Amino acid sequence: MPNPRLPETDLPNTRLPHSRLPNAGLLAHGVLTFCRMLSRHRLYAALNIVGLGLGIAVFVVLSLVVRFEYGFDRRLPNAALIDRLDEIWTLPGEGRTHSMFSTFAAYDPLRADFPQIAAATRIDDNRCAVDDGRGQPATMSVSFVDPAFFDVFALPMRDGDARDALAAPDRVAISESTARRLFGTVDARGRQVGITNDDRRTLYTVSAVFRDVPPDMTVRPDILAVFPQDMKDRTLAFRHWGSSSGATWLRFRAAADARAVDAGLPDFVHRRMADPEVKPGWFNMTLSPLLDTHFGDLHNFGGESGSDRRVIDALGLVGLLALVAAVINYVNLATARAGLRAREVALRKVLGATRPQLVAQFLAESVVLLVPCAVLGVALAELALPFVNAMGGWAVAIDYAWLLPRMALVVLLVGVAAGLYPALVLSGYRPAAVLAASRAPSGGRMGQRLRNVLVVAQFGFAIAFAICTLVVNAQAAFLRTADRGFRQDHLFLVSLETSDRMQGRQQAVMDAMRAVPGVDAVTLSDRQPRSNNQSNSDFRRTDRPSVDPMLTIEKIGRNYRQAYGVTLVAGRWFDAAHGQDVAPTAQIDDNKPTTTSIVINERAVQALDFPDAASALGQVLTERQARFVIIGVVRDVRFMSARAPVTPQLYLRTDAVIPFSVVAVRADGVAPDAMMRRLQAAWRTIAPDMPFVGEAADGRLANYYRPDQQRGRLFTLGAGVAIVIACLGLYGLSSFSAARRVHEIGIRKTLGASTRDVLGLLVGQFLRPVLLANLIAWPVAWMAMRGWLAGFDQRIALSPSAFVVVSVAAAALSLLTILGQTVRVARAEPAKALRHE
Amino acid sequence: MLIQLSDIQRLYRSDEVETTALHDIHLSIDRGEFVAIMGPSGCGKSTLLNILATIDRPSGGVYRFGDRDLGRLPESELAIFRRTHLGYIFQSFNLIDELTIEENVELALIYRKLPRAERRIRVAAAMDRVGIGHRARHYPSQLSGGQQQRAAIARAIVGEPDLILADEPTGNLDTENGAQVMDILQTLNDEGATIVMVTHSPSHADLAKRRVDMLDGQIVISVRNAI
Repeated sequence: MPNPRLPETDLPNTRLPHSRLPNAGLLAHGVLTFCRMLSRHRLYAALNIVGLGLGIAVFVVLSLVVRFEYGFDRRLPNAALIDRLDEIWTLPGEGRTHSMFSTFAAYDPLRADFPQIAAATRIDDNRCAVDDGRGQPATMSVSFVDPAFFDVFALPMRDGDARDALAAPDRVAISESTARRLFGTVDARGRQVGITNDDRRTLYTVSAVFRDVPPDMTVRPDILAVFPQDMKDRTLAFRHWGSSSGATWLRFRAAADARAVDAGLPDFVHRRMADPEVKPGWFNMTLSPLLDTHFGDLHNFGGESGSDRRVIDALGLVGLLALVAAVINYVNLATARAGLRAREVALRKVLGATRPQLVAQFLAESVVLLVPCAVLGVALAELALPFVNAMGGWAVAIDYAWLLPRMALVVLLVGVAAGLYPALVLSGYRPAAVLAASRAPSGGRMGQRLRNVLVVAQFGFAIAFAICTLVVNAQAAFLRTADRGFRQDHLFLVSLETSDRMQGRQQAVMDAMRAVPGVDAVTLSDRQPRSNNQSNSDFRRTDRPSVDPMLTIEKIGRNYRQAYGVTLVAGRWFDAAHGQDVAPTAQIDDNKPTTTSIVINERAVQALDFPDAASALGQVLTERQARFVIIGVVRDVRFMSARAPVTPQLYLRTDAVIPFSVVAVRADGVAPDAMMRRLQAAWRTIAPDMPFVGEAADGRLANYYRPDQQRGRLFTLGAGVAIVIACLGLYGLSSFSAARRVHEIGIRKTLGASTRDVLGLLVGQFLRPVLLANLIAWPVAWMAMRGWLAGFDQRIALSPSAFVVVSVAAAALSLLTILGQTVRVARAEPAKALRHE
Repeated sequence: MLIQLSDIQRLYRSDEVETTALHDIHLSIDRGEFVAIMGPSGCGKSTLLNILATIDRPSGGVYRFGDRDLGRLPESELAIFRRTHLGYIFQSFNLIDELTIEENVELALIYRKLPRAERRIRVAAAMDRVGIGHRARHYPSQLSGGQQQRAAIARAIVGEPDLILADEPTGNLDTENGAQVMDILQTLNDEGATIVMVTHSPSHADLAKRRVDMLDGQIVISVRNAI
């Protein structure tokens, strides 16, 4: 008898109207089941939420870092239409040098020849004494520019009009923070500022206050002033094509204009360059788009402390892989535990659930689980960001308007990605088989194999990453302490570069410094650690005139060797007793047949094609009429980044005034801060009206290795999290698997296996994927680090010790992770174990 | 006629072994019947019940439900068939631990997409019918075996199915609770429900209107009980 209450459509022979897709009530019901299941199985919930939370935190933090790095200059209006004029030097014996600095002499011809240029400005950053008319001047960075600066860089204004901010030579535009520093307020328009450059104090009126330039901009001026005429007259770069002093920026109306100008530059150089010292083929110009400079400058002259795109990409990859590692945990734990839900699945199917409905239910569960994980991840990211910023030297903050929609997408995508495979496995159970079985299905051999593959992949990533981290940190540590060919500790640099007047008083300054208590040696030179100032010339071997490399010339005063601690490898150092050791002037007149002693470095020995240092001794080089006798060879001195090769160089000793010089002071027995105060006091006795520009050499050089050191720390953090995530997954799997195998262990022990046998069996099975992971990790890490280290001229050797240490540590950590579970199971009494299930 | 099984076969094949679980099964069940299936372990009772429940497919033969050949339906249609026409009572109850009793009962209706208000009315009615309404907010672990089985019966009948399948519904219960469950099944049958029950208990089988005995995958006896 048919049930009279059933509607007609429910009769067996009628078409069935039911949808196979889930409804909201069904999903809610499924999710409710899942949430209660999580509250019952807290370990499972905690492993998933903590693992995914950590993965999301690393992903968020590193995404923000990548976004910050890739976002450089993109906020600037017309950023895509701004290019920098760069120089390409191809000098004999030196290879190709791409310089981010360009001669200012090209500025006017360039604008005349290329009407496509909408606006152009040169920028020359100088350390100047800046005052507000009262009190002591402060040393600040002043950017001397052309009046069209704001036409190129449309910086947002706080107060004033960009169009006429630099229209007159007595106007300056200053940033908000500079205004606050100078005047205590941002309302600085109309106030007066004194800028002392090259001993000349000029009074300017603040014509505009622009918003502080954010840290993700390449050009970040504090004070903008138009080039004074006397600066143009004095500075070689304004009239000499072989000299450069700053950068030249061009804005175009269309991208095609930039390409056209770039294509026309070789012809422009050929047509316009008028410098007899620059030989054909040595010099060319090219355009570098502003948006490419942040990453592109790393290997350019002047950009050595820039960002390494590969490192940033690697950080982004780490963020993604940390998330993938957490997803792997979820998939592994979910599929491993799938058997526990088999009866629920069977029951739902018996009650009429379709497979798509079950798949949707499990995907919804996964997405729902991602919500607390995302909240935890963002909270952890918020907590970690101050440390990450400090570690990496960034100014990254969470922009929630940017993050939240993306986080919703991440929750959805990761939820579906993590839930898909478990959903397919779970929904695929056949109810009759499940209901007939006496124990829950384990997921089969395929499931077990897949879990092993995923664990291998997860640990492979973690181990490879940890190896890379060790290598990056080792290289950073090496750079910090590497032998630079001179002693950088307890060495202080006092600059005389910005003042012609002080250059004229070099000897007085040196005498004053020498009189400071605790000073061991004082010298003078025109090259110094981390300075792009260098002059080059081509020298010819007299015995082999075909060998004529370009050598960098460093003019030095007395006591240079003692102050810098350079090491002589052959010959002798300069000695005043030898008449020709000390040049009468810093500038050798190469039209006169003078003979001067020089010392060269080891790279110059190679460039001059001497078989060894000793062979170079007594050899004579010529520069036109002038002759130079090699009296000694010193070890290479690295003033620049470890990425840049040391240039072949000669040292020229003189007691005459050395232009653009720096005084170097060695004081081994005095604390750096105390010595700096003493030097400053000594400076005031001879130049009370001039700002003291002094710095410790090791502090200045830190800028070269600090980025690698900072990123090394971030890699350490990422590697640590990756390993923690992997261990969380391993712990989850081992605890689950151990519990499932209690019965099996009971049988084994009944058959005679000892606790030790069982322990060996379990540990071996859990550790096998971890050990296999090394097979993936080692070659990946080796290739990645070989490529990275190749970017350094001075680098560590890629030693197997890092590989062994990380692999042993990973195995040990994994062992610790699983040991508790396995020991407990292995020690279970057989009778009790056999009752388990 | 509600159910007609003709020449049903069920073979299980593994790599090297082929096992015949059912062969030559011919069985007709009318609406309103209460059929008890008996037989020793491994005789194919549960396999037959699973085929009736459409959670297992026969290797051969025809399964007609009304005038519909279920063997031709795809899995998705069978799922819809189950949710609409079948109720299933398990020996081990199979209540979901994470859901309350009323949520477990409601599960059968959720797949039918009934409005929430109607679901609530039906769930309450089903629970009251088996005397479990006062335990609606409890979880399965808080109930005795007998109460759990009554909850499982409520879940089976809440959708007012055409056919209730019971797989040893008293197998995990003591005598008193077993008797209570049988009382409920009899009452349901008296009210018009068609029931097929697998049991090991001759006394419980005697309470059905018809008894089918199986041996080695075949039906050996099919007799109507004197009531």
